Amino acid sequence: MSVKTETYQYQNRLADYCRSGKLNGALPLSREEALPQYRRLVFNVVKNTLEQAFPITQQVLTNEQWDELLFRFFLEHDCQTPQVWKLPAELCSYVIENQISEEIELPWLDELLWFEWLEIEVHTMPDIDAGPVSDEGSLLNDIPVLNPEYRLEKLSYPFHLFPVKEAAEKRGEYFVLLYREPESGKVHFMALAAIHAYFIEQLSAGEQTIEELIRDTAEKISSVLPESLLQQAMPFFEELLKNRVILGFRPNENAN
Amino acid sequence: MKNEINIGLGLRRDIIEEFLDREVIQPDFIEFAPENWIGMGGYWGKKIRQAVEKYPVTCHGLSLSLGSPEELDYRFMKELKSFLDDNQVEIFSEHLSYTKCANAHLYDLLPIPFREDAVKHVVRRIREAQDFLERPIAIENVSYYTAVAAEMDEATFISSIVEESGCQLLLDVNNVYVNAFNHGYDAKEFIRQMPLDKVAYIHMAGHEKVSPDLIIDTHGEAIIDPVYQLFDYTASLMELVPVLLERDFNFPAAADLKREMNQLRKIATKHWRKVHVSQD
Repeated sequence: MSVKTETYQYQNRLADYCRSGKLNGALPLSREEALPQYRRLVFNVVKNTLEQAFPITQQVLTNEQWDELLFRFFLEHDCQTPQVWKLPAELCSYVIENQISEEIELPWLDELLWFEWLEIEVHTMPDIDAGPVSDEGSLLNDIPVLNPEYRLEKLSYPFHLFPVKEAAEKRGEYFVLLYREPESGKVHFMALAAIHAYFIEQLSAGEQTIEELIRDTAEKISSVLPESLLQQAMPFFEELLKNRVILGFRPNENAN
Repeated sequence: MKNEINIGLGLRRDIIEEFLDREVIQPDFIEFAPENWIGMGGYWGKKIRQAVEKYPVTCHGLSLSLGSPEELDYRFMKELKSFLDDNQVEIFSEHLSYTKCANAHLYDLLPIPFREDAVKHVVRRIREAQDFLERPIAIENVSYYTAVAAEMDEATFISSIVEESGCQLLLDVNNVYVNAFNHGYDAKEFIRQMPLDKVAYIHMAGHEKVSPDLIIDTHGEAIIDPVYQLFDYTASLMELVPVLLERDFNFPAAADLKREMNQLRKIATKHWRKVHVSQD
């Protein structure tokens, strides 16, 4: 620090005031009446950013709950990202770390915030090169290339299927795939069965054909015949191809 | 952007289609905040790449926080440098303010105390940032609504920093007008005190009068006549530089933005036409 302690304290007091609305110590100002403008301007940036990111959460909380959450967050949390559009991710972490959900008796709040942020994250995440992809190939016998711009999530509440109040009453185990359509950049949601989530995880390694994946999976399950599993699973893989979750194929050197 | 009259417009997501697909607005150059685009992929990543291919670019930073009492964020500066290099940014500017304090970002522009130790501190930080980014920085005179523990006037503060750091100045004429109104000084006298030979480019914008004695720098309204007049005066005192219209929200029809840009071009041409003609 190369400013004098006194200058540092003045700078710190103004910043503290913007976060808390309270002035702790002397702060010589040329226009004292203008000071609240700074708190208003600073807080509005944070509030607008978070309200754009979490429209559903804002809607389901009462105004008092929402405002209190934002005030507390901005007061207690030292915002770390220099890119304000990434700040919503810090609110998600803050709510989890401080067990806000338990405190206000909304056990689904952590996950709802996270679910809303995920859509932004997938929409904005840096482009990922999928490598060489061929449009031509066999869905069964060539190695499928998975669209790398996705997030696979396990949820306790099915926010992707029901309105929040209804989803909040259906605690369980749900899997959802969020992926970004390469051409339009739009984010899509796909509800998955547990075995489908497993298939996506395996395919992401980019090492197996679907035929190999089905055979290995059937061996692990042992109570299912590969032919039967294949018959059940193929419509799912066809849907992945149709929806651009599978972008195409890599030549399968092991195929006969 | 050398030796020609260049009137630019701030690129914002709300009006990006006007710049790119519809070509309703075709500024001579564009400006955007790198923080809003660093690491951005998908739809918006494509859009910014299209914009960069189509127009010369200046970048106006938000988060470097040159006036912070703490150390510079080198991790962020590394990303910033890479972004500026990748996008062939011709001019990089930042605000002469602080947006981070006690390890917390505040995302708005707080006024640095106009004090001698702050001058030395900011000069050191500007030099460090320029060295790291390997490019000059133009610092912008910001709007402020109260001076904090001031020991000198704003003009002396800005001039000292520009002179001692060797940086450039982004002269925001609207901010001069806003500050002159809010703090009761003569805007033209302030302009004369600025190191006009160090101006890299000029910002023009609208503002909002929120009470009889307070104007807030909103960038949400059209430029008012007294600010055009101050720009006219400023241009009469200095050499040709690019001029940028900032508009951040409450966007009018494209025709209205074009009208504002045309008005700026008219004033710029009046003062700088000789340079323009000699290059043709």
